[in-house]
Amino acid sequence: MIQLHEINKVYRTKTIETLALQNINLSVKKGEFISVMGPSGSGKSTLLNILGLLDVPNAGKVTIDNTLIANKNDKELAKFRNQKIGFVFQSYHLINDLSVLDNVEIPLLYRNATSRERKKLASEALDKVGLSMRKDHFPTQLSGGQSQRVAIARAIVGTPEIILADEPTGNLDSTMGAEIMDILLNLQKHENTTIVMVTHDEKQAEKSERIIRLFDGRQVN
Amino acid sequence: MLQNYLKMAWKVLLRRKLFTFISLFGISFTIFILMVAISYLDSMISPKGPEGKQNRILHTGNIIVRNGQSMRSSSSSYYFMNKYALTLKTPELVSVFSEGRYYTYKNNKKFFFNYRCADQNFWRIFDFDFINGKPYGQRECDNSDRVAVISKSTAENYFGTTNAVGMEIDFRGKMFKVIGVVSDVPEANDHTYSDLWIPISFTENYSKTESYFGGCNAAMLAYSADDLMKIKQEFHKQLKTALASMPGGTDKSTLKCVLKTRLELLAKDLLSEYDDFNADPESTKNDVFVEPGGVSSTVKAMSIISGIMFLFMLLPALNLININLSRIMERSSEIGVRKAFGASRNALVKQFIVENLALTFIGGAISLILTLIAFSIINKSGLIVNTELTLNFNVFIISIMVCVIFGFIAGVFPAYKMSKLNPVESLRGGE
Repeated sequence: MIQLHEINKVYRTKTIETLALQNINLSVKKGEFISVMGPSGSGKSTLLNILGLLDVPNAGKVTIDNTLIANKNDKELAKFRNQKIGFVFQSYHLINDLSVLDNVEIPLLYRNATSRERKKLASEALDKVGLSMRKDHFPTQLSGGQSQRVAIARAIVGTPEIILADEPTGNLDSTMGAEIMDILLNLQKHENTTIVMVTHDEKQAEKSERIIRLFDGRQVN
Repeated sequence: MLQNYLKMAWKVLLRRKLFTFISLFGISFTIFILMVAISYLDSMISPKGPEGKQNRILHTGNIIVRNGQSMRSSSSSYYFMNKYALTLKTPELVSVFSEGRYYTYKNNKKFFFNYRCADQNFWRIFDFDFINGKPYGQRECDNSDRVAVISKSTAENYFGTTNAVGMEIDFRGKMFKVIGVVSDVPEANDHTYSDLWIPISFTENYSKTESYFGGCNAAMLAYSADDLMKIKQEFHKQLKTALASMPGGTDKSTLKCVLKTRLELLAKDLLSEYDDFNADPESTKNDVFVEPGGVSSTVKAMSIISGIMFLFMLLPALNLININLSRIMERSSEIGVRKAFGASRNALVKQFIVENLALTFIGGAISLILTLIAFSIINKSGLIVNTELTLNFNVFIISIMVCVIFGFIAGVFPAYKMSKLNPVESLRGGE
């Protein structure tokens, strides 16, 4: 499903050059659930951003679903992200001005979906995460766990094949964190969704099928 | 999608009320001023009242005579107009008229009146609205009958009624019988505006011959707008004849007469184009000039007006650009999320422009209300005599265009900047 070949990523400022990723090779099968672990600054989020086509490597090849992601223009990348990838962020990144339902609809806005279709699919996605009764609420009226469930509903509403989760339980207590993990595991099990999750939590990482460890931008296992 | 953009625009407006107030104030005030200005210009260019056929009417301005180093510029005499304008064959009708101002007393009350001495064709070229009575004809002009047409306001003020037909009004110590009462003429109709109209035979120096200078002007009605140039050409020939027999003329004399449509005259005034046509020494040869079609000066004048309007819009637009740019960071998380979930740069640019247009149209709606209030105040105050500023179709369409242009100016650059944001940085900034 996902292949990374000799990925390098360097961040440059006027005075300093930081090697964020070095010679990363990674292959993720369809329906696989992998965790990416490592200390802060080890390159976990950079790796996730490259997988999510939000950032581009300085060297190396990214292949997703047998498509080489190189020289794709902004429009093509946007379409690819929209159809193949769903994101879950540590701090949820819900838009506070929009209702829960409107937030979940966002990925569908960039497809040719009618308003009725969008509402139907968003309601179904909220059903899956057990939040259909909160669809007219606003993010500020939700708890952390509920916000993250809305974020997951937003990530899965367009039925993407890949979900990239950046510390999805990082801001939650253990009970809520466990709930979120269950949802992600269910998605993998029942929808055959490929999941790549960045986490600091060893226990939760152990629930995934494979753990990738990074240190100073290098893969260490 | 559009519904979602508009919903987002509304939420953003409510998010920072002070910013929204500043933006809306700038937009609505600018559009308000522009709408009033456009309406005023519209009332100047196509005034309500008798001068409705303006695209078919040519007006004479001053005649300018140069004899060597001396130059004289003035309106022409009835003698000149009678000989060289009233004899034109190309126009459907030619009317000669003069204007002035006098005062009179009635019951110890002083009245100031504008008057116009006009011939019988005046009533056929211009579309006066007769409330009572009728205009005078050729017979009254030829016989110098003491008859007058007065405006509604004159009738009300002087006689206390609009039903003034048959009553007598004083004109410079002589009593004139009122034979017609017309609706008030807006001041913008500067070729017809008056309080009282009497036969042309009462114009000063009516029977004086030879001098080309006097207080008269002429209006020439063409059969169609296409004939305007033909009239100018024929009048040019007439001027050659006039120059040949000009009193005091020499072989170095020149004679020029302004002959333009209302719009051309306005453009000439706006551009301060003076009647000095003899900067070139070569042109001091015996020759005549009719000012050519004012197309270029009209286009130039319209360009200048549009330019001023654009500059006037630019300042608040720059302010809005500034506010929008400062709000980009506030929305960075949203931009990052939208990009992550499939928004292309184009989609974000579209969203932001729609949001700006929505803001501008709200400003436009506020300005519409302000404009209507201003119109009501201006019209009631009589600041512009007899003129009623109205929000007609032209003004409305131009105002909508102004809104759209404003929205684009203020929206495109911030939208472009916003769409260029790196999604990773955006998401980091939004945390």
